[in-house]
Formats: sequence, structure tokens, C-alpha cells
Amino acid sequence: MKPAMNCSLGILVCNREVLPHLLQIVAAAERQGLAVEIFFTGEGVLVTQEPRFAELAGRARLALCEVSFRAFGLKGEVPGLGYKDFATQARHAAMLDDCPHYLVL
Amino acid sequence: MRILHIYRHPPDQVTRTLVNILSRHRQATEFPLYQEPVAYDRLVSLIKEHDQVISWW
Amino acid sequence: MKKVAVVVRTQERTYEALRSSLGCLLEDHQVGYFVIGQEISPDEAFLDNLGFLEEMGGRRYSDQPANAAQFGFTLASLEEMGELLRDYDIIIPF
Repeated sequence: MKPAMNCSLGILVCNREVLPHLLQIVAAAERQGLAVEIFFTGEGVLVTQEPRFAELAGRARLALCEVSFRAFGLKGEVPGLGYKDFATQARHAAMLDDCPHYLVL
Repeated sequence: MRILHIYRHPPDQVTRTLVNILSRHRQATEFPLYQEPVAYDRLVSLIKEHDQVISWW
Repeated sequence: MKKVAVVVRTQERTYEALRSSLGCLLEDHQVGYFVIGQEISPDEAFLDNLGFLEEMGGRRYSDQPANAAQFGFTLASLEEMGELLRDYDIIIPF
């Protein structure tokens, strides 16, 4: 699946303790008119289990690596993600093409 | 070529070595994400202004 | 297509970093997989993916002689890897 064409800032999340940074960066991007896309992989999928994760819903295009999600024993729905957003690493790779700015957390 | 180095943790010698090589003959800026308080608006502005952003370990 | 470098320094992340490298290759990016300061200890899945990396034209570099001798990495010093990284559009410290 191709990311939204208006993505400005792509963020790869591969660490677990980054939600405070992530929320603040998304807020700053909103203030500066940047559309954000975020892909969670590796232990980064654990971020989806934090209560404040739901604050990201509707503010950034979200997707995660389904293999990582299952590998960490996670299941069930995640706020802000549809079933197509449980994706593969190809989604992250497409983000690299479509987002002019890119960040790793 | 403008390159932004973001440090998620204090850079060690390995990171420093790579940063020095990558910054050679380039306009480099450094941003310590590990240092509170973080100026997030400035961070996003810097991301927009640079051609390449590297978020080090 | 972009030139993407995935750089990893910790043993427990080498496999995830490799999977991300493969994802990038599948989207037709040029990929370099850099392992710094770690001798990899691959299981069967890791070795399979390392094989895919090679088949799809991905490059792999390490400063560890054992990685070069046993798993086909191109041996490069940290400084040499830095020089190689200058040529990449996107660098992902994993």
C-alpha cells in the first residue's frame, strides 16, 4: 500500500520508550503544517500498548510491522490503525520514497 | 548539503567518528534529543531545513 | 529509488535491522546493511534472510573479521564504513 501522497515527515519507531518524544514531535509538526506518517517496528510496536498512544489517532498516518507485533505477543486492535495498517516492512520502505523528511526514534 | 545529526543518547566514540566523517565538507548541525527540555518546534524546523537527517542511537 | 543504509550495533537488533533492509530492497531501494562492533550469531531464519539480501543485490559490511569470514560481509574499518555512508541518501541507525 502506498502512503498518503501528502506525507511530509516519516518517522520510524524502533525503540520502546519514545512516546513522549513522538507526541511532542507530532504536535510540533501539526503547528508547522507537516503531515506525519509513523511506522512502528521491532520493540517500537510496544509503544502501541501505552495509554497515551491513542492521542496519536487521527493526527498521523499510523502503521506497524505485524511480524514484530506478533513476535512481542501482542494482539487485538490498536487505536488509529485499521487492519490494513498491520503491515510489512515494505510499508516502511515506501515511506522512505514518499516522505521528504525522515526521522528514527 | 546540509546534514542534521540528532542524538537520542549522548554520542560515544563510534558515533562521533561516523558523525565527523559524514560532516566533512558539509554544513552540519547537531541536536541533542536526550537533553531536557527539548525544543520540539526547533527540532521540526531543523528537520525541514536540512537535506539529510540522521537520528543516531 | 534511494540509497538506504541500515546500521546496527547491538546483537539483539541485528535481525530486525536485516528485515528492514530486506523491506527496502523489495521496494527497489539500494541497500547497505552495516554491522558495527558485533559478531553476529545467526539462526536459520537470519541466515535465510542474509541469503535473500545477497540475492537481491544488497551489500553488507562489518568491522568484525568473523562476520566477513563466516557470513560474507565485506570487512571495513569504522572509518571506512563512515566513508561509505557518505554516499547514502538515508541512514538508519537501528
